[in-house]
Order: sequence, then C-alpha cells, then structure tokens
Amino acid sequence: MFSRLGSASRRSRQRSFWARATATVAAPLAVVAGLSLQPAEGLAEELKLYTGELSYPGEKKMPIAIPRPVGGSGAVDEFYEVLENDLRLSGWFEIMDPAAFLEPAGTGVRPGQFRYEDWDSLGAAVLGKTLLQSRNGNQLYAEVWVYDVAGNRRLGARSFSADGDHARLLAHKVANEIIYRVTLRDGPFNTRFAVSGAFSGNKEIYTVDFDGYGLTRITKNGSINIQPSWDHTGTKIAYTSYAAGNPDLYVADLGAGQITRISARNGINSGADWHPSRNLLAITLSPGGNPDVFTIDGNTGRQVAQLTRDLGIDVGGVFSPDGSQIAFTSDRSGGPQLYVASADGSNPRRVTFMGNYNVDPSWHPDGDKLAFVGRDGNFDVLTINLDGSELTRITQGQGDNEDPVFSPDGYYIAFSSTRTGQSHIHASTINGRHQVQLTRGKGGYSNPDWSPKLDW
Amino acid sequence: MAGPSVLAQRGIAPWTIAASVGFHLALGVGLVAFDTWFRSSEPKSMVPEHTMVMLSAGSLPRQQSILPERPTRTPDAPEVAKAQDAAPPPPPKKSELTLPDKNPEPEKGKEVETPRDRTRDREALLRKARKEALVKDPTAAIGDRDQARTSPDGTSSGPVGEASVNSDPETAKWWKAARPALLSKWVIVEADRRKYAGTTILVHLRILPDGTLKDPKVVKGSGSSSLDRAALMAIYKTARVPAPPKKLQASFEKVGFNVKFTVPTN
Repeated sequence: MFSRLGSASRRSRQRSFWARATATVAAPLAVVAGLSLQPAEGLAEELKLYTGELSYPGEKKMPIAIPRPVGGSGAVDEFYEVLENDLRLSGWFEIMDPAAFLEPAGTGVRPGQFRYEDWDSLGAAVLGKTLLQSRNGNQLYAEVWVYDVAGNRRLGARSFSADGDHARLLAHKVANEIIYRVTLRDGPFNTRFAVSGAFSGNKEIYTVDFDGYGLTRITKNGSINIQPSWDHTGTKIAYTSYAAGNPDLYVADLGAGQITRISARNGINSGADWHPSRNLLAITLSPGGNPDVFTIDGNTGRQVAQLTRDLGIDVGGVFSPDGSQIAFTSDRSGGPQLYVASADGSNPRRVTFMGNYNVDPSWHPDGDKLAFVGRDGNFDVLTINLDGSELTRITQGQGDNEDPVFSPDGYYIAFSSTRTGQSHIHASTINGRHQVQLTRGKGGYSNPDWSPKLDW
Repeated sequence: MAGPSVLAQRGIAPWTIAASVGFHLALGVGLVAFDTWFRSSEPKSMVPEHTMVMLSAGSLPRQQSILPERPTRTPDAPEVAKAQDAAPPPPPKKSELTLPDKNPEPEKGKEVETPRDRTRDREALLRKARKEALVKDPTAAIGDRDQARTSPDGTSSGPVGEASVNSDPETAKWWKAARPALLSKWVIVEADRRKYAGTTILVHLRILPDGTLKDPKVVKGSGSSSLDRAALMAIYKTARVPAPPKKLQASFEKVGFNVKFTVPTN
C-alpha cells in the first residue's frame, strides 16, 4: 500500500505529505485499537498505459448521403425516389436525411467540386453523388460517383444511359453501382421474381422487379398456375398449371412470347426446377401413383432419368448450383425431411433431423447451404449446411413464411410471408437481421423464384 | 524505594504507570518506523532502468499525421456503359489533401509563444518536406519516427507499465461504458472490411479527467491509410467518453490510452 502511495508524482507526494504523516502517527494508535489501515480512495496509482480493444461489428449499416441529382432532368424526382428506396431495401445502408445536408444544392459531383468536410461532419461514411440529364431528345444520361467519406477517396464512378421513360431502370443501375463500389458485391436490382399471384380469385404467373414494381402477367388462363422456375438464361419460366384440369408442366418463353405444355403425364407434373447450365428440368412425376423425382428435357418433355425410386413420397427436386447434386423432400423416414443425392439420384443422404416437417429446399449459390421451410406451429424459413450443421432460423413468430429462394449472389433470401396479414414477398439477409417487404398493394403473392442477373 | 509509596500516597495505581510506559514505547517505535519508511519511499521506478529506456523509445506512441487517402491526380473517367462523353474529372484541389485542423484554438487571454528562431524555421521546412513526401506516398507517415512521449506540460512522464482495461473490474467497467460511443462512430466501407479482415490499427490518445478525447495518433497502421483514417475519425467524432475513474485519470491524461481497432476475419 505504502509503495503505491510513494510512487505518485513528486508534486502529489508533497501535497499528500501531511495526510501521510497524520496517517503514520495514527498508525500505532490504530494498531493498538485493532484497526487496519486502508489507503484513501481516489489516490492515484502508478502510471500505466492502458489498452482497450474494439472489434468491428460485421452487420453495421453504413450511413450514406445521397444528395439530389444535379443536371436538371425532368425525371429527377422519380430517379431520386427509386434510388433512395433501392439503397434502403439493400440492407447495406442507413440513408441520411437530406434536410441535414450542409452542401448547397447543385454542388458538383466530381472530385474537387465538393468538400469532404461537408459530409464528414454529418457522420456520412459513404457519399453517392449523381448527375441526371436529358440528352438527344428522348435519352436519359446518368453519372454516379461513389466516395468513401472517412477515407477521403473516390471508390468509383460510372455513367449509364437509357430511354427517356426508363428513369426507374436507370436508378436501379445506379443503385447497383453504388452497392458494388462500396461492398464489392453485386446489387440485386438487375433481377426479378417470378411469382404466383392470387389477385382475382385464381392464380396466375407474374414477374415483378426486386423492389416490387413492374408487375407483369405471364399467364391469363383463369386457372391455378403455381411454382414458377426461371431457367439460367432468364428467358424461360417453367410452371405447373391446372388449366387442363390436371397439374401439368408448362414453359413460358418470354422472348418468343410462347407458352408450351411439355409434360402432361397421368398424375402430377409439378415442382419443376431448371438445371443450372443444361436444358433439363427436375420434376415430380407419379407414373405409378407414387411421386418421385425425374429429369426431363426442357424442350420436348421427354423423360431423361428417374432419380428416386423409394416407396416414400419424393418431391421438389432442385439442382445444386454446379448441377452435380440434387436436393429434394422425402417422407421415407416418416415425416417430410430434406435429402441430398448425386445428380443421378445415387447416394441419397438425409440433411435435416430437427423437427418433423422440413420441406422445400433451395440451394445457396455457393452450394454449401440450403434454405428450407420448417414447421413448429407456424411455417418458418431456416438455413442449414449440407452436413447438417449451422441450423439458422431466418424467421420466427411472424405469420407463415414459405417458399425460400436465395438471390443470385447468395446475400439475400426471398420468401412469401403472411406477417402483414396478406401474403407478400419479403427478403432477408442470410443472417436474418435485415428483413424488408418487397411487394406492396394487394396481397396474394407466393412461390417466388429469383431470376439470374438480367441484361438491361 | 520510596517511589511506590509516593505513588500510593498520591493515589496512582502501579498498572497505570505500566500502561503509560508501554504506550510511549509503542509511540517511539512508531516514529522510528515512520522515519525509516519515509526515507526509503523516495520515488522509485517500478521497472528496471534498462526497461525504462526501452519503453521510452519503443513502446510509446510515435508522432503521426492524419492522412488523406493518396489522391488521384487525374481520376479515371467513369466507365461508360454505353458510349458517352464523360470528360475526365479535374484533379482534386489542394484543400482535399489535408484534413480540417482538429487542434483547438488557443484559449483567449493566454499568450501564444511566437518566437522565431532557427529551430522553428527548420521545423517548418521539415513539415513542408514531410507534407510533400506524403502527397507522393501517404503511407510514409505511418510509423515514420519514434518519439518519446511527454506530458502536456513538457515534462517527461517517466517510465510506465502497460495494462489491459480488463486488468481490474473498475477499469473494465469504465471501458464497457466507453466502448459503445466509439463503436458507433467507427464506420468503414464494406469493401475495406472484407479486404482488410484480420488487420488492426493501434491509436494512441489522451483522455482528460472529464472524458474528453485528445490528440489521437496512429501508432500502428493497418496498411490502408483510409482504414487508419477511419479509426482516427472515430475518435474525433466520439469526442468524449464517460469520465474515467479517479485512479486512472493521471495515467489517461499523462501517459495516454491505446485503442486497438480490429477488423475481424468474419
């Protein structure tokens, strides 16, 4: 105790001399009285250099400032609204309030035309500056410049052009560019969903943009049309329809505007999934009454192979991203569980063991993980590694959540959810922390399938 | 021999005499002990002399500059998705190359020393040369020179030991309260988080008794000047943390405090 007192600075030693002298004189008395002496609280201890550690949190949203585009185009309002909404939906950013911006409106977008300090002082981590101009009559031209504010550096820049009535498309491109420059990941805004929509009593197949806009009807037969599946080129959609009274398989060629029925066998012809690189479909057929997984030709519907031959019900086969494996649902062990087998159906192995109802697998693009639907009261979306490890719950206690599908880059999972009372398409980051509703308006969306990246 | 009888005559009991003698003997021993202790309690280092030298030269923070990212004098023209006529942007202005001055203005009423001597002129020249060198290579400022740490009044702070904030409950409690503010202000772009996963930045600063953060300097950089700068900006933007416990105030103000920023691998 005394040595700690004595190691204080000279000045403080002098100041505390009388206090210590008093303490020393009192010490024998205190000992006589049977008391122990403690140092006075607050007296300085020896000087030390302390080190505290901080670890960067992985899921931190980056504050981003998006000033209103310069350039004077009449489409700026729509462009700006779509751009802000895209960045918000992406889950990467916290959008800063433009009312707090210090920089005068109309300040230039290029390096040297603005001051980093104006954004640093607001706490912006990223600055996305845009220019939007109308050119050559009916053309829109956009530039985007992305800056790391804290690092005082330009992350990248790019320009785009589009027809004059495509401000929304242009905004999606700019949003993707910002996301790419900041995260080195592709943004999701050049993708669409194929969905089954029950908006007028029946179920039709539609496509819809990632942000819920651009709903486009593909079928119009007044029947039940479900389980759409994009091919790897993004030009064909296979789906199951009851238009002829039986669940048959159809293929809609979006480029040619043609719909063809390619499988109308007795029993079910459903749950088709395109091979990732070949013109081949995995499909559930029931030629002998018992559903099994088969492969058929994508043009003719000719049977190529039967992948499962179990006495149980085997349905919903989906190809792995490299086409070497297939995941499916089977009740061969009692309740429905997920299985993975080689692409020819050999070496089937069970993946899920938790719970008694796990269905509807979807492959992560890396091929090491499945998203699926589990039931524990409600239907919820979960993910699991192929070896059965890292079972992760994506949804819980928010209505029924079904039909999960990974985004092409594997960063998001889309699914249908009744959490708002009506069935809409929602998206979540793969850890479940950022979830957003993508479709709006009248509900009735189900069976989303995520397109590959589309050319604009 | 008459003593006891005299005491008895005065009504003083023998045990009282014995107690008095005992008390004074104890008092005498106490005073001798105090003298011995006080002589021996002259300031001593807690570490050997050779260790002191090492700490002064090696373990203490180095003088650093706050650096912008290496500027691009002729930034690339934006990539054109379709043929466009975006002209190459002009080079950044000089004002972009330096951070705003974070040093506080001198307090009013206090004289500011302005003697011009050779030393100052030489330092000015060195600063200029250094600035020019940094424009060419911003990483040159990271750990370019050792400098012994001195306290604000110019006196050496002397040798110090090092400790973790988790070395005692009170310090750990204070750090637990201070961390969230720093973490909330520390933002790096995702591209850097992925690219520099696993790296650390060690920043030295002083913490005043009221919790004000002062004089942050990068002691050990990450290899990315933008990442280092983001760590410094976290200190600047936080500005203040909960007041440290009294027993730590001298250390935090005179010796300083290290913050180790880690970008985890996952």
